[in-house]
Amino acid sequence: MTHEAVRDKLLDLAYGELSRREARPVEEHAAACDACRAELERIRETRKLVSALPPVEAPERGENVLLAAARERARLREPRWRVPRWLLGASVAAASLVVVAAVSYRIIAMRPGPLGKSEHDALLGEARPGQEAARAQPQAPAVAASPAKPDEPKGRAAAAPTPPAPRLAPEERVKAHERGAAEGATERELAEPFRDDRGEAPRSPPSRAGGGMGTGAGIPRGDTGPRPLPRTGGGEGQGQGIRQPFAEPPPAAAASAPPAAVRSETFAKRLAPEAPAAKATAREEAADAAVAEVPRAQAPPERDASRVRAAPAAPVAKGAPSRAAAKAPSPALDSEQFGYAGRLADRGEAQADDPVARWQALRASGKLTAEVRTFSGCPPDGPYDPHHFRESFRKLERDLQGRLVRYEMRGTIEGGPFEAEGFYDAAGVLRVERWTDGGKVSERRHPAAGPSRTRFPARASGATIDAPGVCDN
Amino acid sequence: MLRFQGGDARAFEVLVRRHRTPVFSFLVRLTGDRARAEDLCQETFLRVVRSADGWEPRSRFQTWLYAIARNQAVDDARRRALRRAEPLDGSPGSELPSDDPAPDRSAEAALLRPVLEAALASLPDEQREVFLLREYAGLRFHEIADVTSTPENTVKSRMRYALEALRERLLAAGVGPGADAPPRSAIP
Repeated sequence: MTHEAVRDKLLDLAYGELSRREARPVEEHAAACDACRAELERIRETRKLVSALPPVEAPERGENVLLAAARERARLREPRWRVPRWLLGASVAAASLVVVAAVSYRIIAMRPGPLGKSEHDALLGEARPGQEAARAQPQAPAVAASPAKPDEPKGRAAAAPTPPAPRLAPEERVKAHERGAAEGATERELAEPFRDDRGEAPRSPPSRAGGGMGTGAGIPRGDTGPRPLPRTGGGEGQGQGIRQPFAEPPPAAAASAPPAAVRSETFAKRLAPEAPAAKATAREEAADAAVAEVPRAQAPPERDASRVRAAPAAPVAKGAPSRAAAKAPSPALDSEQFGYAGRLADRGEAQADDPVARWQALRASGKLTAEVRTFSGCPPDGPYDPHHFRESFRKLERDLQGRLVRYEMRGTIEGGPFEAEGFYDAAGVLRVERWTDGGKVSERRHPAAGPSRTRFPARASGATIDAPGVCDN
Repeated sequence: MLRFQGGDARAFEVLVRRHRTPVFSFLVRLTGDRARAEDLCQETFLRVVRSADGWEPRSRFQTWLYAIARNQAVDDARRRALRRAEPLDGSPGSELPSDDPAPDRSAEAALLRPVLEAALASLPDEQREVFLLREYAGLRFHEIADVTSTPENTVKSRMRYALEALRERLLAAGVGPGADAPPRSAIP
């Protein structure tokens, strides 16, 4: 630090406006520089002299007028507060009822019901072949359209197209369950196969079988809904969890590749502008693969039973269903993995002028570093001025280039808690403030030149984690 | 202040008790006129009552309060200047409240006080304003810059000049570092 720079800081040092980190080099220079040391000493001596000047006591008269004006204002405000508080209470109560009702409905819907005779027989493998075939046929398009379809390992259930089967093999029971998932079976129906498979070690709960937890009884299990199954590979989990005990041929690439393609397609959609072409190609390949298996359906070792059943519908399903299935995970990924910033990026919107979006995008991509500091307390209150504003927590988030993106503060204002966050643009100017205090949430946006008055450092250059915690009177 | 905004009149009473004397001191020393300072202080707090909704917790209450007080003083000085009355930069030293009951301070401080008041009163307005806001009101330099609508560097320059001028005048009056009390000749 140069001599001139230190001289500029001597006043700040004498009045305690420097953080410890900022004060150290100034003090070190002043200790070695006669001129600076002398000036610092002069400032401190003068301060000591003038501190002897006591405050001039204000006269008592006039205070009653002030208090009367304050009471009048408070009286005028009273009616305006009663209605919002009442409305607030009613709103909270109504919202609570809705939440309780929704949760209760879900819980009731998840409870398994009594097992019907025919279902019991079917699940035990005693269903008549005709019934089994009749159930299998209408499901084909839905199965073909399902993104979970590629999960199913090839080369199993070679006998599936063969109508009569005195008793369903264990894997067929699994398929019965999967069919249920595809055609809109109820939770009860889906739960039953697992009751009978007591010898199987990992009993996958219904929730893994296609997001059934979120589906009420009798609600069709369409695959275009925003359920998490397609996007998270729930189909994979289901398939593996159930099939492993039967020592089936490992799903290997056939089981995992299509979901990966779906994921890569979804990522590519957002992360690379040229990705749509590749995505379309991937979808076409997936669709083609589905159709290409139709002729091979006659080759038992390579077939998937569900696909065999889907064979008659496959030509129809070649285009639309498979594309719909491939597209289905996208919205869920957009909203849950990338959030607001992801959607912005998806639309190609620039975030340069929106510091909040800039922060969200950086956070979503993991390109933020954070510094956190807490402050244990403030010095004792002065005789006239108890502390009005106390900062207890500070967090600074910067991008990988070290530029400040977000500044967070917490503490108390007149004894009540507050939380505040400030967002800085790429030029280091505070552009957005959000405050939660006194039960109010407010946001203030500043022009490109920055704010005129703020609790935050108006410029990123003035923000440091080392600055002392604010204890204002 | 938040509680007062919410309709609690007793909270304002606390504010008045807490800030009235510091604000009054600031106004007395800024204007050099006790009667004017009383009026201005009263008007400042009435304005706080009327403008309470405009205060936001994110801004420091003290900064807001002193900005109101200072603006009251400036407006009053302009009005007086228009009426060919005594302007703000008149010589206020003679009207300083030297007969105020001294608070419970040391005897040395009581002896120093008239000298300090006179030295302070001799400062140019802009230097005295900055000095009072920093030294006695406790505002930071950037807050003073906000209150006075002046660049922060200018505020600091004024503060340096004010400190140097005070030091010179106190030394000229026989008050210096190490001196416990001014010489008797310096006491009026």
